[in-house]
Amino acid sequence: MKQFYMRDSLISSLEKFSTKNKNIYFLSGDFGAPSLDSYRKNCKNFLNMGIAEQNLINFACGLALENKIVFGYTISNFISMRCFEQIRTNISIMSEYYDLNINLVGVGAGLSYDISGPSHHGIEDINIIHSLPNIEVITPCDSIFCNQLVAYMIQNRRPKYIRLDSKPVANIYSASKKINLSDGFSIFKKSGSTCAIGNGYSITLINNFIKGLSRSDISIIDLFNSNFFNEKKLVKSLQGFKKIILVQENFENSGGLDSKLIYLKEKYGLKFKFKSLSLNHKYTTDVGDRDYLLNKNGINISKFEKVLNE
Amino acid sequence: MNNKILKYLNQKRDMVWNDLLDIHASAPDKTRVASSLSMVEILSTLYYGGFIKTSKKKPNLKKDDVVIFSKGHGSLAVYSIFADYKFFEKKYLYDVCGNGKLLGSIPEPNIPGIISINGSLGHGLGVLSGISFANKNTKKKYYCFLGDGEMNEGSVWEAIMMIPQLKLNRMVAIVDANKKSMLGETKDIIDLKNLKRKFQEFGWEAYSINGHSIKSIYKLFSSLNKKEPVKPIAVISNTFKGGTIKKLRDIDICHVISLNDDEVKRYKVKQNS
Repeated sequence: MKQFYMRDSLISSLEKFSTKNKNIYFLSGDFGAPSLDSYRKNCKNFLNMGIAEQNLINFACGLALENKIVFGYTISNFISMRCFEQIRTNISIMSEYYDLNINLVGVGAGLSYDISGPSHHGIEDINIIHSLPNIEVITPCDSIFCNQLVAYMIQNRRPKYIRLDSKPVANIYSASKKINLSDGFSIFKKSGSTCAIGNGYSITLINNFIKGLSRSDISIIDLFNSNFFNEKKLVKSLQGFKKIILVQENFENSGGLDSKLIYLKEKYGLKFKFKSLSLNHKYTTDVGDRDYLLNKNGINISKFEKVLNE
Repeated sequence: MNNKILKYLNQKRDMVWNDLLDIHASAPDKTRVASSLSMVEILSTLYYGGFIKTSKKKPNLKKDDVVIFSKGHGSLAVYSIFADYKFFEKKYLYDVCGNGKLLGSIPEPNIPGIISINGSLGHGLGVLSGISFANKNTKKKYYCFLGDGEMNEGSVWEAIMMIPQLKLNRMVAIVDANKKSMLGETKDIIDLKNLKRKFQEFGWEAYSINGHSIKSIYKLFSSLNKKEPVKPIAVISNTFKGGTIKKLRDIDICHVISLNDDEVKRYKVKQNS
């Protein structure tokens, strides 16, 4: 199946808006993409802010205070954690006073930078940014989603952190269908009493596991906006399930989707059994590709089958 | 600078100085004071000398010069100026830090005239550069007040390097070089050495002045106003933490030292009308 880079889909789509809308500013932390070469050529408001993420965030805040629509772009760990206090102060706290349309686009969600090692693995960023009020945290699972996401990012005047996979992935969403981005989650199919939940590359993993086990009785939910989703609607969707299996490429028990789902389970008295395939709370220092690293953490089809049958 | 202007600026300086001491004395838990006292002359001269252009009664965000007080704890003197400009009533100065009141120990954007969050050091210059870039074709000026202790933060240097690159020539960075951070002399902690030269090396037009001398401040900013800026401007304002109060100047940790009511009374200056 043909695979596509999320960043190229997002940037190409953004270029179409940016050539018409002079209020859009794109700040790169000296980080590129094939699609960015075209963007740089055709869009005036492109700036390379250098390898200085703290300043990129502060500068983005200044632009957004002047009602500009700002995109900040570099590797996910560097645009989220290197400058975390700047995000907290000048984006999250400042959003108590102002509407700031700042979109931080990070490449390298989960273990997608597999061979680059733990400095590049995006495995705490989602948990850390979850702790901040006023910021949406969006983890797309394919290029079709990224394409549709751009209009939402431009129109929705709230800070957002977008986590893109660095590797190309096959499309999961249908290009002809409009994704309901404001709910923060999608139900791919609803069948059976078990639901597998994830976002980003985990949706590809879940699809592969279900296909490999030839199971057609498992529902799938893509909880793509893990900080701002329609809570009541999600709870309603979860109510009928006896078992929820979470697959996430970030640390277990550290503020990720597991925390969100267990919180909802307790708050609303949901009856489902909760199982999670997450990264161990320990850095993976082994050299190897993504499947190898996932296997090291027990995220594989056998473990999925095991928790399915427990 | 004629005598009339000098007299007026001295009067305003005295008003700001006394208000600052009153703010310090009336706050329930005593605000930090030493780092604000070093800013009294430069703030009052820039505002009342007409260098920082600000509307009276209500800030006009479109028209006014943009000012960020990155040196958060050390910027309380501006409360006095903003009350005098009628951004809020003067009575607010006497309930700083009270429950549910307008003014806290660090200026925040809920206060008219304050744009940014200033409690955390190293943010203001970068934020201001974004504002300046968004308004590149306007004639406004963009002032940022920093502390010399704040210059330890790497994010300040990221902004210092980027601003000339982007030709943000209407920016003015003013470093209140009062020589002390929280635990002692800045030269004994991280020695900034020749700060003026460092700014120049990165492409700024830099000046070093006596930040307690109204005449020096007025002279420099008058000359700057006479020409179209071709580079961003940095001003090293050499001051003493605690201003003229020897008790504060002589203590390494004066940042956290409070004055008692008798001292406040003693250090206030007699204002001439």
